[in-house]
Amino acid sequence: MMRAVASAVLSLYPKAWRERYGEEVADLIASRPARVRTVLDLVSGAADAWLHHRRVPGARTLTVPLAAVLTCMGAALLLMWNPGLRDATDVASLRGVWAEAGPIARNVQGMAQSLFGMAGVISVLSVAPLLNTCLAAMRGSVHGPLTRMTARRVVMTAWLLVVPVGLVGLTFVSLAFLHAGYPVGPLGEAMAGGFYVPLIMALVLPLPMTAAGAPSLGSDVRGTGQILASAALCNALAWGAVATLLTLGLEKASWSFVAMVATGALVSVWMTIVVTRSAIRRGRTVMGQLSPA
Amino acid sequence: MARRPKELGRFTDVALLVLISLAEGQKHGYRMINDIEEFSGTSLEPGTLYGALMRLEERGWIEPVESAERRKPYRITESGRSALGEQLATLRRIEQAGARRAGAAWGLA
Repeated sequence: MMRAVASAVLSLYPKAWRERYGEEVADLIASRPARVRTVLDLVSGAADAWLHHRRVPGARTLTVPLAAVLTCMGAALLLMWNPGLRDATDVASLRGVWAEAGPIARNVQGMAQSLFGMAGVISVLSVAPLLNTCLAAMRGSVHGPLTRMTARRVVMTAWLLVVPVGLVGLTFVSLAFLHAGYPVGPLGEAMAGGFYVPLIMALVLPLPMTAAGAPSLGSDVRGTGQILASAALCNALAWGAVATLLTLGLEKASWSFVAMVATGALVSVWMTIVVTRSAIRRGRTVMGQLSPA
Repeated sequence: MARRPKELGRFTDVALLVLISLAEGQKHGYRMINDIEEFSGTSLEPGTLYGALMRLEERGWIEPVESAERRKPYRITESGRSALGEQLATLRRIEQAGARRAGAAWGLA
């Protein structure tokens, strides 16, 4: 019985590990007494093999596509915002606390809104220099065919992204600045941007990633990444202001609500870091192709 | 400065036992487990043994030997032998320091 369980546990190991050691370990299991300890040891070994799968001889790097990571993060943010936080009674019930806090709460709320607003605007503008270079490359004859073709693809992608970026931006502005939707309140208005700015950043990312196809556009790709880094910084600072606002009403907030806000903040900040790092790294890689070997 | 296998983590001790076992000649997993149990009294399970083998192979301290048999033997490499020598020298220093200090504490020195 234990031997069968131990053999079955082998299927929990990564494929590269099984290809390399599977037969040997199966032979060991078959030729030695199998106990509960053996099974637990194999389960622990499987977890270790997954954690250190790069150490398995001949293992390929496990890579999750960036698009899939960003899609999952974006979907998580949207779900946490709506129905997650917007439906939470705390958003409405805490309104009285902040009314008592007076100008402090209003100032902190305004700071968060402004920082998120800046992050959104910077994100959209981050691709302006790149688009400018691409438009110039399409018109001129200085660049080679690869650069011209890549520039055309970047501009076409930009046109395709205008509507989604516009919709996300409009939703953010409506919720944060135009008191649209229910029931947002001071905290909701303050933190709405934190759920939408990362989406805007992720939506503009295809432009530098597409531009990375042409080494001559490498400096613009890296430049976009650097500008996106300032947007990510504004986003993180804005979450700091949201945390301050939440602290003012912490006594009346439920732990689940605080946990949801904290998770939203973490995902938001993490997503902006992933986007920024991807653009900067891609820019560096492309520029490295231009350097003499 | 002795080369310590810091990244071997919880496999450090097992890796040392494997290197000692292979130092006298190539062995496959089954023989390694029996040999280690015989000279150290440590009964290894397959998951732990192969976690250590994976790390040792990655470091180039052991290597598989081509074999048509299902049980693949492993042998220690030159760098593995040198790493083993350094680890044993470190253990000797620890043992000497321990014996000296324990002796002093018991009033035997």
